[in-house]
Amino acid sequence: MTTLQDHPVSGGQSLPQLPVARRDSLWRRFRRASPFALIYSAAILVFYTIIFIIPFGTGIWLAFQNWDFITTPKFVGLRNFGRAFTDQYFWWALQKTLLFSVVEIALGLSLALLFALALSQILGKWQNIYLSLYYLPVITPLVVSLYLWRWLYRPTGGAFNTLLSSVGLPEQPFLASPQQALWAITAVIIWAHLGTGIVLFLAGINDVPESLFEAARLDGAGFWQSFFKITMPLIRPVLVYQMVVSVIGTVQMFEAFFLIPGPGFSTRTLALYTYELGFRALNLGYGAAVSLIIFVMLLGATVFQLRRWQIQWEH
Amino acid sequence: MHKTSRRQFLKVGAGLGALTMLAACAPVASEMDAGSADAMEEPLDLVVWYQDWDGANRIMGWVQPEFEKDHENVTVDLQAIGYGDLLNKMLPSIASGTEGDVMMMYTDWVVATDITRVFLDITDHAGGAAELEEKMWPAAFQAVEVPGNKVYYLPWLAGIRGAAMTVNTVHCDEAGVDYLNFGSYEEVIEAGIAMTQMNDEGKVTRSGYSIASSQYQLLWTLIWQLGGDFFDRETGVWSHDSEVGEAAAQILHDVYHVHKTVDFELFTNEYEACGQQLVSIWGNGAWTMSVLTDVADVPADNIVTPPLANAAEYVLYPQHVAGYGLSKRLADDAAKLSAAVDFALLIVSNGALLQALDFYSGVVPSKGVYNDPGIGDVKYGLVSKRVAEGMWPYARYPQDHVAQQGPAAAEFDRAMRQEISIQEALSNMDAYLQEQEDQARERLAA
Repeated sequence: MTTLQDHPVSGGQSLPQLPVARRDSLWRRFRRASPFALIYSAAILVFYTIIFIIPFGTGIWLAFQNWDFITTPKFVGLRNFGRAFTDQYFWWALQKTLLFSVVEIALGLSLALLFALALSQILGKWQNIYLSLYYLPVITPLVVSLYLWRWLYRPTGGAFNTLLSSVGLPEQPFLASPQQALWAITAVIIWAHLGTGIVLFLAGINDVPESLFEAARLDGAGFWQSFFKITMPLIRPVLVYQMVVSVIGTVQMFEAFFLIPGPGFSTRTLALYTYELGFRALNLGYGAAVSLIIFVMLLGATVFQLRRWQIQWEH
Repeated sequence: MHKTSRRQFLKVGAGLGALTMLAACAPVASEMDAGSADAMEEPLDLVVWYQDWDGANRIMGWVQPEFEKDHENVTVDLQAIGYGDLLNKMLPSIASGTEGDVMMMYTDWVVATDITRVFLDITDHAGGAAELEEKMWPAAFQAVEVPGNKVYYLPWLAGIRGAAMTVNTVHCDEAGVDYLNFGSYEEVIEAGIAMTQMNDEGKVTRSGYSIASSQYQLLWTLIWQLGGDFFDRETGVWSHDSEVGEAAAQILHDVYHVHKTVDFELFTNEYEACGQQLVSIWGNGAWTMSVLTDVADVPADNIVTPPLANAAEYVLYPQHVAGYGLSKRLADDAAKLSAAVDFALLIVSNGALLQALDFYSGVVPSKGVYNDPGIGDVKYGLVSKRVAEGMWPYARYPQDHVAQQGPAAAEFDRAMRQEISIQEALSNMDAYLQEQEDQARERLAA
């Protein structure tokens, strides 16, 4: 390591050697900490331990057992994990989850971005009015929305089919069809969460300096050129955040598939499968193993996304 | 202002924490430590968990004051809990010792575990197994495998999906169907064909007979009626995939694709469709009659599912039974146990059941209530009597150990929708059920 002595100042005089800063030990820093800081830290640590560490640790232990709450837990080693790889229901649930996630995220984020872009062109109070309208589904309890849509989707007498038949189009089974049920639910979820994306994207778009657009216009750039060359790169942090949160949210989505399921296995996602294993089949060990597999998948996906789309430059 | 140093603060905090721990370690005086006071006179709190539905709330509204009249020292804490919540919390609560004293349960919630560790053995407290089976139909105690001749729950109500059918009486009148005199299952199908309505494109617009909600239960019923079986209690082997299994499944498959009395795209939920009067005969359970009549003004009546014309034996699978179990904690508290037993017996008493049959059209396992002179005075008394007396003597349960039949039912549904063959569906069902059965037996043996 070079020191000041390697680079003497002009005049031939060397600077006095300064003491090298030493990093305090954990104990020394603990002793110097304020009592209130210690109390707050301890409280959060206790809370985190109760809410996360203990349940997570119990889940890991459970994944190696065969247990039903009541009988004596029986250690089964890696059987539950091995079973997941040979369990066709696990792979079907994974397939449904991936299909739902990919379509919901792609369509949901695209629509949110387009709506936000459109709203960014509207100035004044009308922007807020439209934003409020789009945000209404977000603040409506999801259970209420789901039951409303279940009524809309009724094959006989439902609003959608009444509308379709009134314009001469064939009625659709929607939730009664194994082919349509998953997409019917996807549409509901996109509708329910669109407002959140619009708000976040609009905030990002509004944050882009107007001077950049002016400069682009002076250089002859059109609307879409400005969008792709200026807006998109600058709202990238918002986009990455939305993608990460959406992946986690879609994989964990439970209410929709529980309350308005499609026939058979057509809408049985991993979250629903895990719930059924634990609380219906009383197969807690296998349910915990599937939960851990989901956790590892989500962790991997999150790390991948954050690293892949990490911002390399500052503006 | 005097400032507290960190060292002083930590000393005071440690002292307070030590005092708190000492206080927590102090033994709690129990009611039985009260000394000379008579334990039976000590005030007691009895916590009762039951499924939150209008009917149960009304029944408890009658039971609670009746009970407290004769038990002045007991305060009953009734906790109405939604079906899903009650299902999810019951076993974890029992495992952690925080369960209610008296708990409503469904027998299929406990088939996959050891019922002797879930509920208290109340055989002697309730008067003995023989006496109970004298008062109630024995089949109601056979929904769960129990060791010996013990009683771990008091049967209360049964919706009997698949073992009973509900008819829209107006549809039957219009078609001239004499639903009270079906001689065979085939006659039900014929009536369903007569009452089915289709549009010009051949799409069913009203189902004459729907098996959508009861097809899985009917499969078991029909396999038994054809002289076969699908589960061996002794070996724990599942065997839907057999000649008899295929024959039974084919009967149900033909309802959809040959007789066409129901269409998969007519409704998402059969129960809602019945409320829309889109179904003429359904098998979702005798309980649906009262709910649809009282809430949706559907003119309905119940009948017992008749046997196949060529049935080797008349057997019916009534799915599950709702009952009440007592907490095992009560074994250490004689006074509370006595009160809990009295409360549970009052719930299944003739008086309470008569109250129930004023708004509940399912069946009860109690024989006595149907012989009560007041049975004709309650709204659904006579229809429940007709169905109960026609069903219970023929009821049978497989006594398996699979709590979640859903995936097996879904596989069967795939065969009904012609997504896979019947044989493939039955084989898939056996594979799933066998795995669940083996895991349950492994736990029970541990």
